[in-house]
Amino acid sequence: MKRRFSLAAVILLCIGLIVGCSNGGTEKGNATEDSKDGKVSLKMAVFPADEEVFKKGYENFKKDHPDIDITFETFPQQQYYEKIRMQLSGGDGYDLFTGQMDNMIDTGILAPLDDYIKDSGMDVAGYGSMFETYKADGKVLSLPYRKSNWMLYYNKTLFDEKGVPYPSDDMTWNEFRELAKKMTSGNGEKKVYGAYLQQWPQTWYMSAVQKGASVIDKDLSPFKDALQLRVDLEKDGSIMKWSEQVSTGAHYNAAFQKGNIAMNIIGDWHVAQLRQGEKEGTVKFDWDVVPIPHPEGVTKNTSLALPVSIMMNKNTKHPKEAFEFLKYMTGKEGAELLASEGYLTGYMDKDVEAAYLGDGTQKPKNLHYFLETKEYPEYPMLQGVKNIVVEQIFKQEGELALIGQRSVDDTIKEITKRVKDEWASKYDK
Amino acid sequence: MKPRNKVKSKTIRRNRLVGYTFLLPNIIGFLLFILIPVIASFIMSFTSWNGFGNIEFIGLENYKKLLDDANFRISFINSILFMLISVPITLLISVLIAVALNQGVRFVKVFRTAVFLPYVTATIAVAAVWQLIFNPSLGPINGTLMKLGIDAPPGWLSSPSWALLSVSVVYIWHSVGYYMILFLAGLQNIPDYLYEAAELDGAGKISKFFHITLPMLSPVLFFTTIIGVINSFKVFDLIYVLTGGGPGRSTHVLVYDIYNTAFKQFEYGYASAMAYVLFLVILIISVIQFKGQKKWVNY
Amino acid sequence: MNIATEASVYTPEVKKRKISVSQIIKYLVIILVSLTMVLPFVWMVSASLKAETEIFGFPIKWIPETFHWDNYTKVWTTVPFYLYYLNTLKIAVITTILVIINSSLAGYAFAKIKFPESNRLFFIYVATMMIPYQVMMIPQFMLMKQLGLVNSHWALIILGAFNPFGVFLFRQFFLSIPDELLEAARIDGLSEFGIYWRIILPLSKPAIATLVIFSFMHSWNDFLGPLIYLTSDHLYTLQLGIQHFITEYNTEYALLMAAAVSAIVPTIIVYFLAQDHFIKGVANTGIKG
Repeated sequence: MKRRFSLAAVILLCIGLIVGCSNGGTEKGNATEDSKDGKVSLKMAVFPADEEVFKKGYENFKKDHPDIDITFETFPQQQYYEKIRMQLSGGDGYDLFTGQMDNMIDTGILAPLDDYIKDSGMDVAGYGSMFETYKADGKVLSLPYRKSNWMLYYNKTLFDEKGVPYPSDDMTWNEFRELAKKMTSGNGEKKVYGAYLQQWPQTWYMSAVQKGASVIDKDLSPFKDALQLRVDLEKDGSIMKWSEQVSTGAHYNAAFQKGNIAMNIIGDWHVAQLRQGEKEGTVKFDWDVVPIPHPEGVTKNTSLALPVSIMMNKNTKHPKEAFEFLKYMTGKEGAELLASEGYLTGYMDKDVEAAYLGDGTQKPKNLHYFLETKEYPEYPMLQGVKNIVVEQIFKQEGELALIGQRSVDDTIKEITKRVKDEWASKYDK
Repeated sequence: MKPRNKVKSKTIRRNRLVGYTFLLPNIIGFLLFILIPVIASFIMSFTSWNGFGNIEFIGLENYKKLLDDANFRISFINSILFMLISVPITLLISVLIAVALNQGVRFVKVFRTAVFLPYVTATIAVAAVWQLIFNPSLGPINGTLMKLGIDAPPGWLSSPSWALLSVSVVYIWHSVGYYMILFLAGLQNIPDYLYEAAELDGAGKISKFFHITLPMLSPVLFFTTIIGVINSFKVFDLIYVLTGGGPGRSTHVLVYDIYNTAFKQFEYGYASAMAYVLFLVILIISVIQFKGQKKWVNY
Repeated sequence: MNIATEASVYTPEVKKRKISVSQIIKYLVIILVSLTMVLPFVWMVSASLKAETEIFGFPIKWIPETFHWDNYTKVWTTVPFYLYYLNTLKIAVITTILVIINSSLAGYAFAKIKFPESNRLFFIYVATMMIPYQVMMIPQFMLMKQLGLVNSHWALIILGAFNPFGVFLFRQFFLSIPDELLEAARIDGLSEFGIYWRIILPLSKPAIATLVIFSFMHSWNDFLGPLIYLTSDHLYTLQLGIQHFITEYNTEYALLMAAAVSAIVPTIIVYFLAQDHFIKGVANTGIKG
């Protein structure tokens, strides 16, 4: 009797625990306690790379909003989403957080922003088509503060030394391959790589997306050429071997700053990193940017974008104040600040553009191209499609082709199969 | 009731009270941090919970899904392979070194420390070192191999056919010390008179090893096999730092898959089902070992 | 345990000093295995003192041309290692103390206090060693969340403090202490706790030393726990810090090695301090069955 009772008690306790966890959100949605002097405290999670600029933005914001206190927290990029999701899953955690919306949308805790936007009378024209594209079920759940467009960075000093003309803004991927080959030389310590492609699958499959293909298409044949190109680049010796890149955990920023890489294809945020490097004296060469190469038959200056946004916790105690800061950072003022740091912002108008281009004293000179880029979304923004799983499939399978373990054709076949297995039910609809 | 029984039951009651008082902190900890989580995750394994929102029960869906989840199948095979490679080799090396060290070797302390050293060091730091040692083009291993005239040495961690083996090498290197200590302890519990008697019977060294040392060591061997198998299923840090499950899915093991499903894909329910299957596998293997022990373990 | 007692097991052989083939093979095996074990450390220490360009030079130079101690200064100034050290030390020390109190109490109850269900309880408790951490990982996290302990060191300390292995170790060790000793004390009127505290614990140095090594080492080297529970940078443990460092400074190998060396020194020191009692402790746990 006694034993049965204790068993029942334990089970009850467990159920209570689970239910308690899931309801915790509505019961105590506050992240931080308010201080006594009527100030409102907010907690915000930001990408590690963006922490500095958010702190700067907050300093300005504070001048007009002395009653809002914001503390920022960040985690290594690799563990970013697991950390904020775990923090948020108990209900409290953050009032605001940055990130790519697709990683958060299934949580159901993103506050719809439509009413706040309407009430504040903010001008959404600055977000362009993105405002509509990234609505979910007709609701705005996030506002983008930067776009994460891809660019081609090149080391001018290396091109000058070799007497090779700089990369042009209208270059096909094949021309890019030839140029990379031309720029490659040396061995060991003196090795100069023609190009650098970070070990993310996007760096090889972007040319397929530039053609308008999507990573969850039923027919993935456009990705064959894309993968083949990366294989060829490695065969030419113009990029670091995949295996070496992975085993040394190579990183685009450190690698490019070392000065022995002629061209680096990476996102717009790298501008800020290189400027930082110049300030710290680690960048000892001249550099500039041009649009990424394009496939044959695709217009020049076509890129991929994956907006990074600010989202609001629907359980926040202070939605008004939280939205105030969200609006500030994603709107005109925040955009001007981010643009002046070198980020391609979600919000654009003449003033932000001017801030982005600067007064001409700061590198890179060619930023103007990116105000006219045509973009395709890097990932589909579909309910139930987990981009992190898509990325894993492309990484795991693509890798086998890149280390020469399997042919490109078989690899794409396998990717097609895995993508179909995961989402057959989703995209048939 | 006879008075003697009364006294006895009184002692039992008193002892029980004292016993539970001593056990109190552990019982609380056990209930809170082991029993409740174990039951909770069992319940969770029948849901599609992602950490947010309402919990939806989906019956055996998760377990059914496991049956044709290629990721899970690959991780499962990798885990078994990893165990089959690393456990026997680890045990063999540690038994040999323990027996050798137990035979009055000079500088025994130095050698013992040397073998045990890898075990006390953090896997994260150690993995960083091995990553460089295994580096296919620059590392000292392939450097030496190429000097020896081998033109195309293996890619080790970056080759799908060698990666699991390379991780096993690091794992074996890391854990030999632990098992050596267990064996050394076991060897010291073997009474000297057994050897003396055998010597009187004219037994040689090899005969002594097979007829005294090994049988007397069999309980320790049994214990270490069980622990070894369990531990080999738990390897996470090494994989996380050395390969991240790659290249391809060649080092994707069960615990890595569970971590990935829970904390990267946020399918808590599905991850719990995976964890339970892992638990079941460990349980089955342990039960088989317990059943089999009667045939070879000597008490 | 020291050399003298170990050798005493086989004194006749040592006395003979006969250099036989088997002796040579034995030493060869021992030296070979020991070298394999130590070589990566030597390589790591040597790399941590080299210039970046010197690390992968061939043939391997075990002793750097010039000692680059500045690698260490750089590491310690770019990463708040002292902070990570303090955090890890705090967690490891408190956990270890709690584990020892906790496990010895339970071990005593299981070994020396006779009540009917004691053995069954013990078996259940030890059997939990078999449960993979992954089974409990998520609910434990949810629970800690409810207790408000996420992103604090206490989550790690509390989870570390309950250790079935420790209970097992102490119970087995206490079994080897004769009951007569306790009976005598009971007759003298010592309370049960008094016996545990004044008689049993002072006799248990080997078991304590063993658990100190294992427990300190486990919490010092734990990676998954801090990875899940700690979010703020100023709370990070050394292992998280190292991992952070690996991802950020992956191309500066010398610095990486200096960081790795910095991370492993404390556990080695603890091992050296406790090793004399250690083997005896393991031997007395009676894992012979």
